[in-house]
Amino acid sequence: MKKYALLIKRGLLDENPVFVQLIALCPLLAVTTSAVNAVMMGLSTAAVMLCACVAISLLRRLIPADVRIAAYVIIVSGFVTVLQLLLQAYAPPELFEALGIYIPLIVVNCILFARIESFASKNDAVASFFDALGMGLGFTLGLVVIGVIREFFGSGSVFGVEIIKDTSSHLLIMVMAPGAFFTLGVIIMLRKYFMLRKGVPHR
Amino acid sequence: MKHTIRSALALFIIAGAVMAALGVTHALTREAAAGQEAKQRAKVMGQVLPSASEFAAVEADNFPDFVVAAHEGFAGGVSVGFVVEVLPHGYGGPIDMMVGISSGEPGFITGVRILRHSETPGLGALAVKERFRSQFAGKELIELTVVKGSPREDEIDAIAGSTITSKAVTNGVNIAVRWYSENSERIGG
Repeated sequence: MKKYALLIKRGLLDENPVFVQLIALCPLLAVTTSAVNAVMMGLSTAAVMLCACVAISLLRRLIPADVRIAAYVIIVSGFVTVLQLLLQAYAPPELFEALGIYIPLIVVNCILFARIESFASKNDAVASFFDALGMGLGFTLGLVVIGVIREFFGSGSVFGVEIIKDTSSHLLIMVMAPGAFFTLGVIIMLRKYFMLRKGVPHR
Repeated sequence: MKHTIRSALALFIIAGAVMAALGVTHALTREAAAGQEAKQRAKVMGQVLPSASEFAAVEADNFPDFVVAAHEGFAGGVSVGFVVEVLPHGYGGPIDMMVGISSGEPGFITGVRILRHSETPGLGALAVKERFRSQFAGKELIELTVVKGSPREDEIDAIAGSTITSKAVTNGVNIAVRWYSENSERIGG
């Protein structure tokens, strides 16, 4: 059990996809303009990752090594399309609209292939499940932290609740792509700063 | 050779299984998705023309460019106005929107809602927000233009950083108003 808890902690903190591995930056830039979008994108990616990692882990002995990437793409895109159909049918229409193109883009999200190639294809289904869960939640955490910061400074609200009504004080750049880089850079800087102060060796 | 065939076969089976799963999901969700869409449209029509309680599609052989559909709104059997669906070109593609027009004397715009768009998130996408679209409600049926800051009676304040989107939405409203002016009397109104 401890092993699984460690896998989750690794995805969430030690090897957080957003703050440590710096992968999957494309959806990060694109959808974290608001906290709600960030939560939905994170959870959608996590859901696809869970399904795909478990499925691929179960099939890992059956997928020939030389066509494995093609097989992964097919399996992942299958799950993504299923998710999209489900969202279209059952999610609030505004939300489905907001996520728009980013749902199909989960297919080419490198975080999925990173987990599949480096973990799910080499480990059993239960371990893959917890690895995907940790990484999925870690990705969601990263998106939400950045989404909340960008939404607050860029639109004066958090989770759609208006805090600053005066529109002239909104920093437009925060809702554009550079805002995501600034936010991410500052967070990584602070994280490093506190790690160095605590004496954690530089990696 | 044997190896190649084995790989191809494995890939073929995986693709077939995924395809089957997609087919099943599509069949299961198709009705719910269509229902969502229809429900959403009915809801939006009620929002842009709140005085109407029932809507009837306007039958027309051909609508002018950028006009997709029109619905006449009724309250207790009496026509109160129209909801015109228009599709102007935005910054990221067509903007699917509905414009409600009250047919009183004088007529005025009762509301504008965007159904579907592909504008820049955080910029053009702000057009769906109350702050921008509420500017249209109550406007008389005159040609509207976009300005930056302090709009007059026939002007709309642009979204900062999204002039093209602001113009596109305003253009959509103008197209709807034009269609209404040219056709309302013929239909009944």
